[in-house]
Amino acid sequence: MNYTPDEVTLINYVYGELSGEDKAKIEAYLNENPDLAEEIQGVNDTRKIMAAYENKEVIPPADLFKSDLNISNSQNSSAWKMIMAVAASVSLILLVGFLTGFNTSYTDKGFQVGFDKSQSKSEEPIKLDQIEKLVRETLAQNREQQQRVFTSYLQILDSSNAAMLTKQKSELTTAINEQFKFDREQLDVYTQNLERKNAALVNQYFESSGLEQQVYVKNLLVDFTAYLEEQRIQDRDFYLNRLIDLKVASDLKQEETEQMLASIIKSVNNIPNEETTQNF
Amino acid sequence: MYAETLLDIAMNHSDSLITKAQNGDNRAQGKLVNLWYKRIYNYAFKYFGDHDEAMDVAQKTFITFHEKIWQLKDSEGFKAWLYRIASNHCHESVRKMNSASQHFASEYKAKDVNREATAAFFNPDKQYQRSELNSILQTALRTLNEEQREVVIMKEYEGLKFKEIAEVLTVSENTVKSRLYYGLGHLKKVLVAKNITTEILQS
Repeated sequence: MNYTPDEVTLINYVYGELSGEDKAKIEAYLNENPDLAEEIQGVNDTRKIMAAYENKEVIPPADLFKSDLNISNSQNSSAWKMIMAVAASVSLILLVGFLTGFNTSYTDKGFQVGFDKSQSKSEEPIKLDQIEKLVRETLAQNREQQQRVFTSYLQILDSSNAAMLTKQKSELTTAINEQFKFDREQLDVYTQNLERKNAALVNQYFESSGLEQQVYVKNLLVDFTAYLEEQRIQDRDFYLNRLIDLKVASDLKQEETEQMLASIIKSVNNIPNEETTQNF
Repeated sequence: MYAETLLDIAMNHSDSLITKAQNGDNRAQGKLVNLWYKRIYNYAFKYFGDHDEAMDVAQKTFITFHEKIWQLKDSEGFKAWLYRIASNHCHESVRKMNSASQHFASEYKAKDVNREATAAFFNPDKQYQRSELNSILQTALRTLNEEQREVVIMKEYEGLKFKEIAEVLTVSENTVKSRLYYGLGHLKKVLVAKNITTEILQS
């Protein structure tokens, strides 16, 4: 047989990736080549020893993507806010100017500034009371327009805030749902594993407990039988001793009785002789 | 038998996270970093035997991950892709060390540590022993050449399949197996020379 396994085959064998004929073939070869078998054993031992090398605990840094965060945070900087505030103010002034009809003009009579073009173009000389009236009317109109602008601006602001709040709320809800979904998935997997382990543990406990109980009951029965046997022997010895004592006592009594009877008989037999002797 | 932890389960079922991360979801990217940071750090730590180098490689790996996650075509290939990034950063660090001649200095330092560790291994304090054993095994790993070392770490400690290692290193599976066989053989000789056996490990 010219078969000689190469290192790829040997690694496949070490990592259990061979089966059937290939595995049998290499095992037969290792049986015939103890040096190589020893080498493979050495590789397996090395893997066991290297497995003792423990992982180190480490905490991921919190600011790993800090550069990106800086970019997004730059939008919240004070300079950015100032620029946005100035732009918003200019926009507001332009909007108010447009809505109030603010205009300026330069004619032969001079430079005119006003809120209504038709009045600014008047060619007739204006009296003082007319000017006062005009100013009052203009101021009243101006107040109304400002009030309207202010109201519309507040409405725009309210609707914008409401839309933003709704958007943020939905984003927050989505984020929370995603977070909990992921946690729930983890929790489900963990719970299933825990349940399986618990079931296995309970089964193991009952099996082990059942066996222990059997052994315990068996030992208990054996102990109880031994106890009964011992008790029986003790009782037997006790009664035997009592019987012996009784026998000894009754023998003694009998002997005493016999002696007493013998004494009485002897006494009775001696009475006539004494009486005869006395008569003489 | 290798027991799968909750973290392993999460790592192996993070397809939806990867998809979200590819779409620019920073939270998903953050979660992936939390899941994989320890693995990548330990890969680099076993490669260099140095905490600072390992931290540096781990951070660079996840910065590259953040920049290039959108390039990943298939979420199933995420593990191999991430280890490829880590492996490339390890190679880059070694090149820098070599050019600065620091590599030899650290080698010398590692040998000194090893001598002390071998002498102290039989100390009765078990905690100390474990720490010293880690030090000896780290030194043994460092005696391997780069190609063998990365294959041994990926297979023995990171649990990558041969196919995945081949993808990471862009070599054939047979090359991976060949490097692993000679790497383990070399480690065996080093450990025997240091009188580290399975019997000592069990005691």
